[in-house]
Amino acid sequence: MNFLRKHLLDIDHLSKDYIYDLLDGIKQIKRKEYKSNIKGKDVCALFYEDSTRTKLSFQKAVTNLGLNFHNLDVQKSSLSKGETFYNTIKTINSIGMDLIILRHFSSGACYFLANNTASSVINAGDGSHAHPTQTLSDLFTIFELDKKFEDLEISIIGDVLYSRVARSTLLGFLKMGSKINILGPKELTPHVITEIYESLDKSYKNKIKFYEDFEKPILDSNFIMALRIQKERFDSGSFMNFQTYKWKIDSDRLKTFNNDILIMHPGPVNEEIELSHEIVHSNRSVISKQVENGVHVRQKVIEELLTNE
Amino acid sequence: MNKLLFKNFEIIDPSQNLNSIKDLLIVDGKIQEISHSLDISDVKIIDGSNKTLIPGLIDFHVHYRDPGETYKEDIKTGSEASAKGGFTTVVMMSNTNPTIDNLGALIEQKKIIDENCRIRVLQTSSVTIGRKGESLVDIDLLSKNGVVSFSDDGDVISDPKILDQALELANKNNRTILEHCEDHGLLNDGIINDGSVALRLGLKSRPKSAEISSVKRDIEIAKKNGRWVYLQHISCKESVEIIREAKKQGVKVTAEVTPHHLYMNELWTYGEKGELPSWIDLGAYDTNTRVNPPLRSEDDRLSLLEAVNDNTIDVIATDHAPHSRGDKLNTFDSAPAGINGAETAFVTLLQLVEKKELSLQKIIETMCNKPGEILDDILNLKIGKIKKGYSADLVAVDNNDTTKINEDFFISKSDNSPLIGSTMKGKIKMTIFNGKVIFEDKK
Repeated sequence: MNFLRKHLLDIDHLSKDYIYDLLDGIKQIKRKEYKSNIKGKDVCALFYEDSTRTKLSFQKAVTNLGLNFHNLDVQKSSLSKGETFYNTIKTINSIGMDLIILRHFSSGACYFLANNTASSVINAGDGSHAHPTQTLSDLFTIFELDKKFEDLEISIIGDVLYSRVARSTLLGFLKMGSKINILGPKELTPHVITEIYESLDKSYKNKIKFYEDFEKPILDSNFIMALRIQKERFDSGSFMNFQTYKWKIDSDRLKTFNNDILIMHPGPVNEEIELSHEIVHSNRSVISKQVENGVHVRQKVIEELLTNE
Repeated sequence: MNKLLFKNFEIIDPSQNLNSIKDLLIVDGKIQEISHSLDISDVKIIDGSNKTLIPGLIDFHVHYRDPGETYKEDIKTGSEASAKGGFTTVVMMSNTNPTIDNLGALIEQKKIIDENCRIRVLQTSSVTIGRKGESLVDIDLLSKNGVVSFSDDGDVISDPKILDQALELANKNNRTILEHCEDHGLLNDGIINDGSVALRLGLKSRPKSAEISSVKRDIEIAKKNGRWVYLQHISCKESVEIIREAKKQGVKVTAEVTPHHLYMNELWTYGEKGELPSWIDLGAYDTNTRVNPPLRSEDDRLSLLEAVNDNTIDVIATDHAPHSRGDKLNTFDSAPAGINGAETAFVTLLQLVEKKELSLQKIIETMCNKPGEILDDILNLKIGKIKKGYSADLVAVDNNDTTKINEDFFISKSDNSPLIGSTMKGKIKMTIFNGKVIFEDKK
């Protein structure tokens, strides 16, 4: 049996059944059919990278639960005075928190934190590794549309190599039984991905396909997930130029897709790079739903972790 | 006369065709006689029933962090750790702070060694002043004063012209350049092998191409002017193939590999002793597995073993790189690279004997005979063999005992080893240097 246990660091240890339980729970929260009874817990946001939306979303979730939200502003903290990450962790540990929400630029930082604190830990994005609450928001956005995951084809477009969202989301959809198309420049869509996921579970075999152009399977897919292109990687990289990114979706491109296709994006969008302004705000876009659902998802996850304790 | 008699040991040294139970007599620090049933009176006897006696191990690659970072290790603790690991001769790298790149620093080191070490501790100088890759150290002068060879280890010598000049001068002095083969321009700030583990963990990959490119270049330089070059810690299949081909063509290249590259692969980064986990668990991102060059794929590991077995690789050396707990207690990308290897190297390799991936004979060839011959050529030391007249440097091993590697195991100042938690078959019972017992396992 897989469950959240003490931390949510990745979604790789969650079973399909458990994810369904979570999604059902999130639906109840969203419909206000359920009220939490956890009280008086202290939650600390420890963000080593700039983030407005994820932090705000967590803050709203914590407030909705009636818990205490503490924000450690890393830029102004002892980090800039040279304190090691380990010593910062120990300091927070001594102050005493029930839950720490960590955003960090280093892949695996959340495991390091979890190993060295008595608190529960939620990974709010670590380097290029994972962003589990984003994935659960994506899954819930599809789930509440009453779609059957097993019937879906999801096309992920863009920087899969460096994207923590891609890594988590890919695994999330595979767990739920969907098919995945990956589209983007070869340099950013490493095929060795298939090998990794197939080694995890035989049922993932032949579920991932790679494309370099808007070929038919992409046009026929149910969801497009455009990923944020990280400008700094392109400017420093020798193989591609940010301006020549050719996988943008605009109104003209949208016409070539099937009529029911829905567009997702983990945000923040580089408008006119991954998606045009019209597409972001069109009736095909579920981007604002993803953001809205993020709050309910985080509420559910926090509650699960603090109840498990 | 100072005498010591080893009785009934299984004595193994492939260079002398020794592979049976015999007695060995040491007189005044030298091996005097190896024979069946030596009966000598008035001598201290060490009984070797069920134990194996091999030549003292030689480590061509250690970092004792002294001077500069003695909170990680120093010459005394490092050499004691090596002695416990069966080493009787070690070669220290020069990447200390300050760098060992001049006669004054060398003399200072020698003084510290003389005062603190119970094994033979040899010193390299850097190739370039301050390891900056710009101007050469005084290779003639330092050679005359006893440096073993020259190395900018930690960094490759980027300028091919400087490398060529350094090789010319070092070779003239019967010495070589120990090259850290990783081309800076291709490293990509990477920290683990370019492969599925890097991708899954979201860690930047350190491509093999950095090593391959540097190995190719160094071999071309050596080939062009008939120089002798020594390539450190080779880690991947392609490098092995290039070296194998170069040796066929008669290029004078000596190749080194570490026990950790022979024993572990990139899967160890998951923190489950090489097992592929179903999910990434709390032991993952084990900073003790971070090392340069990185642990590679299983395919690479197997090709390194093949290369040791067919003599493409000449030397196994530890690259003993102690780092304190505080240093390693960090995120994977912020923790320094290096594995603490002096005390675990030999028993680790014994596990490969158990798995039939390597023979004990091969371990002795690459850790005693071959490095002994190289040092004999350079410094006229008679070491690395169980042979009459050779220095009585020996290791007694019990193959039926076990070595438990836990946090209390290490006598090094640091314990940065991914092997903590392992139980290994075989144990070093005694290390003898110059006819004196300098380490004895009393447990």
